[in-house]
Amino acid sequence: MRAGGCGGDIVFNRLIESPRMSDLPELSYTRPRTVPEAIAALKRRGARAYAGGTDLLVAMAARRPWVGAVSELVDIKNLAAAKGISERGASLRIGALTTTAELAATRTGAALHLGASVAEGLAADGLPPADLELVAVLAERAHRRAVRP
Amino acid sequence: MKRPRSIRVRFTVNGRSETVLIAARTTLLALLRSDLRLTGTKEGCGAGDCGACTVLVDDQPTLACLVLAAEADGREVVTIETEHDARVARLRESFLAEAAFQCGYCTPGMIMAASRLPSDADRDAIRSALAGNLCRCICAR
Repeated sequence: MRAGGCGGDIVFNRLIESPRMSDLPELSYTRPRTVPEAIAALKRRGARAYAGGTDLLVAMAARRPWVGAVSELVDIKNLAAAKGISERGASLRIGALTTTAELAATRTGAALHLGASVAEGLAADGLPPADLELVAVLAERAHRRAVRP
Repeated sequence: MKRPRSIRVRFTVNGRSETVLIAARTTLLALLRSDLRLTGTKEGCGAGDCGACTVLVDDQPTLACLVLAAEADGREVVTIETEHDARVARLRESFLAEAAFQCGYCTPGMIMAASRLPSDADRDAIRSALAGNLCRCICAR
């Protein structure tokens, strides 16, 4: 999971291939404070939820087809309802705004982190949902192993 | 209602208050480098992979290429140019004293990311904190 010394090749390739963020389309930006406000904003045409920015901003700058036409970013980072991790027995509730670092810091997080990283990689490669389910199953198994007394 | 595409952002950068009017699509990195001429923060991959653009937003190491400048509103941003942040300043001096770089492009990001490590961090913790900072010329490992 570490970059180590050989990450140079990744950067080199990215320098050639990656879009510049200055290529982002014209946008408006809203920052709802409550869930109902966020839902109302997201009903607007061209609106898209914005949290981590990884993937979304990069894909928008690259005009990736899956993003569609986005004209408004609805910043949901401040919604307290979607934050936090709570653990109960063998199950874990992870708020949608939880960062990987926050997750990795929990007892079972390290195992889940691995599964999530793999899932993210597969999603980025455009693999079908069936494969993502498989990864979810593997992550769940890893989680069970981690919480076993 | 037509929502604004230009946004007024008020924030402090390296202890100084700034108010700027920017397009909503402007990234924090573009604001720092192009508008405020704080070019110590580097753009490497521009896609959140390399860590060269790491700055502190409310004390949290953050990739400036992956956040919108609009999000900095009301927050405190610290960059490699800071004259007030003692932890950044000390690391900067140490990097210089040890000549801990080759081309130096990744150095600002490494310093900013490392600046929030606890003072008793061991080698593993340091490696882990810097895992997201890639060194193109393979000087730093």
